[in-house]
Amino acid sequence: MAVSETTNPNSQNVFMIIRKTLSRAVDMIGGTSMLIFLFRRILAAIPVLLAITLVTFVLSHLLPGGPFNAVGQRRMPEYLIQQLEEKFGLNKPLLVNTWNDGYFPDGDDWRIIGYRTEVHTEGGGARGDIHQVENEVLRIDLLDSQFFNYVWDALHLDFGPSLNVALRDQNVQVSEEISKRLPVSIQVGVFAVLLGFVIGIPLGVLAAVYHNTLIDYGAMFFAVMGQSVPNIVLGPILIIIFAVELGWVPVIDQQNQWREGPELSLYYLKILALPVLALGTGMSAGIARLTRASLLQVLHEDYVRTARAKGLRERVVIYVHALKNAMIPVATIVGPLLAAVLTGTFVVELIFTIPGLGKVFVDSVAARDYTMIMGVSLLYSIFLIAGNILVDIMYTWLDPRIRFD
Amino acid sequence: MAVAEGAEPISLEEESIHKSANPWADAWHMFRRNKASVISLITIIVIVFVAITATFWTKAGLIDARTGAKARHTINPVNQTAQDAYPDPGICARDGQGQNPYWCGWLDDESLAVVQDRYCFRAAPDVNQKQWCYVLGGDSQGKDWLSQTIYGAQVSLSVGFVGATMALLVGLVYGVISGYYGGRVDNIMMRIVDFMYGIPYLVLVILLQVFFTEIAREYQDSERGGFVGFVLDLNQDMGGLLFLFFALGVLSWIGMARLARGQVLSYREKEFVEAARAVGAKDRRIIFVHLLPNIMGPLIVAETQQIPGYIFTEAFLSFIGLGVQPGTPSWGAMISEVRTRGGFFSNRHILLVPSLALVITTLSFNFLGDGLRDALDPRLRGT
Repeated sequence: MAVSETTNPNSQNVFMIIRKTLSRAVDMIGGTSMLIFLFRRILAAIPVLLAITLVTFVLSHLLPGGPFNAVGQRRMPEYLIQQLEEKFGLNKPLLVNTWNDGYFPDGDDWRIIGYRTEVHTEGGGARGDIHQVENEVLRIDLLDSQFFNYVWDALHLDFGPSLNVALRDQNVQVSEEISKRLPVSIQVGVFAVLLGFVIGIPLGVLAAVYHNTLIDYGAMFFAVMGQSVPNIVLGPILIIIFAVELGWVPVIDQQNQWREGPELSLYYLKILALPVLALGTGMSAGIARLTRASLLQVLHEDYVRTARAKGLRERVVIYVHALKNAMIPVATIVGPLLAAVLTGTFVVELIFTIPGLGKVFVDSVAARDYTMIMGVSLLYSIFLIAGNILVDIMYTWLDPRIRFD
Repeated sequence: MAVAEGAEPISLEEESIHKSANPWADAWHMFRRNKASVISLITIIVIVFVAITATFWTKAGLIDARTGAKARHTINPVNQTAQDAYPDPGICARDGQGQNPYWCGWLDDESLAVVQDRYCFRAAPDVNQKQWCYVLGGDSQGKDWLSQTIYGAQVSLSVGFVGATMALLVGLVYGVISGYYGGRVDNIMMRIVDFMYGIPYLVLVILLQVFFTEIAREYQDSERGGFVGFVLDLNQDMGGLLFLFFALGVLSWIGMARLARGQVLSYREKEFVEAARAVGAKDRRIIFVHLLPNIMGPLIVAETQQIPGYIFTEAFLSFIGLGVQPGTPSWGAMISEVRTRGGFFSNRHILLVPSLALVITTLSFNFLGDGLRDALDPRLRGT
């Protein structure tokens, strides 16, 4: 008590600061109505996520073969497979454990709701005598299936161990592996989005300002080209030109730089350059077209005419009056773009052999690594849903006339 | 509509047959003014023609690229390093094997006889034997790269057209029902669409494709009758395309459904619909006669702009080996050989030929989409 009394004025101060920043934060994201809207959207996302879990779960388990006898692995004796399945709970029924499935969690007994006695060993060494403790644990046999066990664990943020042969021997958890690989994908994605905006917006502005001139045509030709050259073409071409012929960048990362994360070194930039270029070019094309269309529309508005009529210089009209409003539709694609970037890196990762999430997913599907498939798809879904919510928030930020009430 | 009015006198001058300027005639004249789109349309028509008549064009190259039956032959790696095991088309010319500047061989009636020198196949000793050339080089199984590219057009085009048509039809029906009837129906239908929006497209497509390819592979070993067997047979004959259509189509319609619903909502309360309802028109008549003609333009435009996306997805899936069945020529699968055959360092034609085909096709569809947008969707003109 004495300690808390001495720090009391200080802690009150801290409390006030927290309250102030909280209310300021609420105001910043658009007031309480926005908060309620956000809350409702997040609530609505929960059943969607559950349904996606179910779909992915069923689909991944429908794949022929299992994690212990997948194609390309050493054949294991039957008893070993059985033991492994028991260890990872794959011997349980898939969706619902009915009596007919013949899986009885407690000996021969099967009840809808019942108790199970669990025996723990306690004590030993410094903790005293060894003795056994019996615990009565509530059990619902109907739900003792692979699916509900997975959902239950996932709600506790336990996504299980990876079943891939290379990882399960070291007891690598799915969340561990994902947290190692996700930053790699994010590095590529974020830099590609940045590049997309850095190239796309000036290009779109130029095209709109010099509407129907050679500059416009050139910019739009670049945009259409950027949209027409897929990554599986652009990637190898970039490798051939810059890595093989010119030798400016290494073909693949030999210093494990991807895993170690971003740093301000020439080598990192070299590693980053080609994948980001491949991914960002297509994006910048879309952004350039959107910027141009939006700016052209704004330039016909009345207030732009007013600005011109009162004698402002053309540069001021465009960059101060028009561009700000023209950016609204452009900014709103950040949400879907960030979500799309993750699936976009998929392609680029495979071409440039980057050890990111897309590579993990393709490997896990091939190895029938159920837990990893589930983990990665859930993560993608969360990103997608978050991206969609972000778009709605962006709208209200940028255009105060839109309200979610 | 100033543009359309401006276009009208031109149309009367050029083609006096036109009775009146109906919206489609207007659209056609608008479309014709965009040169890039017209060129693209012609390009697409040429590609479609070549793809349909693929067997005719590849007869000269003699390879049945679909089965590769006649073409399989081994290449003895005598005096060869790994890198030049599969010669570039240009190497023959440099080595001067006489008359044949290409990677050439000859064919007996049934079997393929190849005599190979250090880089080249020698010219046929017998004049009566048919000559054949790999104008654009060959692949690791000795199949002609040009023939495969031509056959690859079949896959890409059918994926683009079927994908777009399916998405348009399903999305249109779904969106029109949802938007027209509104209320609880709309609410439930749109919740389903919202749910599907949360599913990562590529993840689902990859899972489905792995499932389908494995099923198809198992089927090759065992006989199966009934409907399942029929579908699997059909898929086998189509080189895996049937399941690919399905996998691509599962999620592709949801964007179209949203767009169609929005369009219907914006037209449902318009005066002309109200007038039709007032004179006692039934729902079916209102939808088909009054709503559909008005909303079709933007929907077709949106779907045309999606076609390159389907082609890209197919190419990517084939690139990672989850697209068409192995042995079916596809541009994505052809590009993937770049990795397995050291195409980064030599044999650049491996990359160049299918890439060019892919880019030209998608470029044409993109320009076509722009032209169609200008022609059919006056509000978006010039954007």
